[in-house]
Amino acid sequence: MGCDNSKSNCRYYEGFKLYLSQVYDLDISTQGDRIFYVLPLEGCDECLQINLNLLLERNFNSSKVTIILTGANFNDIIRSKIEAIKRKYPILEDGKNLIHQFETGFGKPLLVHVKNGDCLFATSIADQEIESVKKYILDNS
Amino acid sequence: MYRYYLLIFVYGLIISCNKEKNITELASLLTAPNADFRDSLDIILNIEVKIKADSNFTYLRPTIFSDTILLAYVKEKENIISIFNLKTKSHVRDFEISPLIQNRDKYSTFYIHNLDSIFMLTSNNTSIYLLNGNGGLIKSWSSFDLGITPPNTYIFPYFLPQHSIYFNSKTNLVYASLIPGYFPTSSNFEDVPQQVVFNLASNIIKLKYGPPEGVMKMKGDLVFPGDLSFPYSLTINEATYISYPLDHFVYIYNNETGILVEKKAVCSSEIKNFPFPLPSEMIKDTQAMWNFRVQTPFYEPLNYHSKVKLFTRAVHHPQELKEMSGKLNTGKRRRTSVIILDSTLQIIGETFFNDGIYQINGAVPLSDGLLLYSNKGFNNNHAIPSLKYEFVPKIN
Repeated sequence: MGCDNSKSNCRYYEGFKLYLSQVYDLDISTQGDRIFYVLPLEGCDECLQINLNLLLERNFNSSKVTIILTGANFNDIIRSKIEAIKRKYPILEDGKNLIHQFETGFGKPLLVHVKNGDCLFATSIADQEIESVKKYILDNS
Repeated sequence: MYRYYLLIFVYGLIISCNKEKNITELASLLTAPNADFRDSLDIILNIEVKIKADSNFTYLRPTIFSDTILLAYVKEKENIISIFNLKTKSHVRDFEISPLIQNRDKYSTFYIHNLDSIFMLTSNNTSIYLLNGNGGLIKSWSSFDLGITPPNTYIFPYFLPQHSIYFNSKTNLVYASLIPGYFPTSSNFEDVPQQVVFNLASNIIKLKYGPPEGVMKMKGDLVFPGDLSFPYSLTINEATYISYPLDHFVYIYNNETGILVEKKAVCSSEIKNFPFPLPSEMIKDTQAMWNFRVQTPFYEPLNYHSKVKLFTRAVHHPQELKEMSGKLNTGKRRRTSVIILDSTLQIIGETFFNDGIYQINGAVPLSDGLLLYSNKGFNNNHAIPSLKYEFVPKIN
C-alpha cells in the first residue's frame, strides 16, 4: 500500500481541510508534513482496540503523527489506553463527533497524509488493513 | 463444440434478459404505487411529560412498557439501566446489568415482556440476552445455539436499535429477524429466509420464513447503506408485518405457516420515488454510502398502537447533501411524514413534521400515540422523550 499511489484516496480531502479549519482553526497549508490518524471512540470496541494497540505498541514519530479522537468511550480499559495515547502523541479532540458534519471519508478510522497543504495519501482503515497502515506510517514518518 | 458455445450464448442471454427484467421491475418498485387514501386522522401534540432525570447523564434508546414504565440506559455508565415512571414523571430506580454478558457488549435496545423478563439486544449481532428485573442474566441465545453453523454466517440486526423481537409467553416462542452475512450485499441472499421463530426453552427453530421481497429481492448485487438494508418486523398474534426502509409496501405473513398472505402499499402522498441502489463496489466507500443515507427518503419501522387499533409508519423526506456552509446536512430541518393506518393498513391520514421535530428513530410508540423528544435542540438524546402526540379527527 505504501508505494502504490494508485490506491491514494484523497477524494474527500477538501472536506477534511474544511473540518480542520472550522473545528480546530487549523490551516493545513502551514502544517508541513503531517499524518493525521482519525480514531472513532464509539462503535465497535474490538475494532477500536486494534487501532489503539497499534498506536501504543509502535513509537511513531510524534512530531509528524497527530491523533484525532472523535466521540467518547466509557469502557475503563479503553479509557486507560486513550490516556496513554494522549501522553504519547499530539491530540485533537472532537467529543461531539463534529467530523460527521463534513465530507471527509470518515466512518472507520481514517489516515490522511498531508504535505504543505497537499494530500499525499488517505485511506479508511479496515481491521484487516492495520498492518499495511503500520508500514505506511513507519515508511513515511 | 458448436453446441457448447451455443449453450453458453443462450445461458448468457437468459442471465442478461433476467437482469434487465429485474432492473425494470426494480425501477417500478422504487416508484410509489397509487394507494387508497382517506384523510381523516391527524396527530397532534397533546401534553408535555416532564420527567426528572439526572441532567449529567446521556440516556439512550428508551423503551416503553405498558405505557407506564420507560427504560433507558445511561451512556456514561455502560452497564446501568434507568427506569422511569411516565405516569408519576419520576425516576424509579437503576439496575446494573450482569457482568456475564460477553465483552460488555454495547446495549442497543430492549424488548420488555414484563419487568422481570427483559430481552436485551446489543451490539453483539449473534446473541440475544434475557435479563431479570435486577439485571441478572437468565439466558442467552446465539445463532450457533439455534443450530446455525458456521458461527457468524447469520446475524441478528439488533445492533440497530430501531429493530426488535417479539416473545409470546403462551407458546414460549421468540420471533426474530436473522439475516445472512454481515451486510446483505449479494443477490445470493435473495431466496434465503430472514425471519426465524424459535422456542425459548429448547432453542429449537420452529419456522424459518420471509425471504427478501420487493425492492430488496429485485436489487440483486446493488447495495443500500447497511442500516437501510434490513427488514423491520412487527408481530401481532399470528400476523408478522415485514417492511423495509426503502420499499413502499408492507408484507404480511402468517407466522405459523410462513406464508406471505398479502402486501399493501403504505406510502406518503409526497414521496414518489426512492433513489436507485448503488453498485456493490461502493460499499467500501463509507462516505458515498453516508451521502446516499443523508439524501434519500426512507421509512422507519411500522408501529402498532393497540389501544386505538392503529398503525403508523414514518417516512423521512429527501434532503440536500450539504448546507450552505459546505457542511453535510445533519437533518436538523428534515421533513418527516407519519402515515396513519387502520387495522387493515388502509391509509387514513398523514401528518407532516417539519424542522427535524420527528427525529430519526427518535419516536417511542405508545398504545395511543407517540412520544417524541423535545424539539428545543436537535438530536436531543441526552434527555428523556417528553412530548406526547395523540390521534385526533382531522378538521378539513
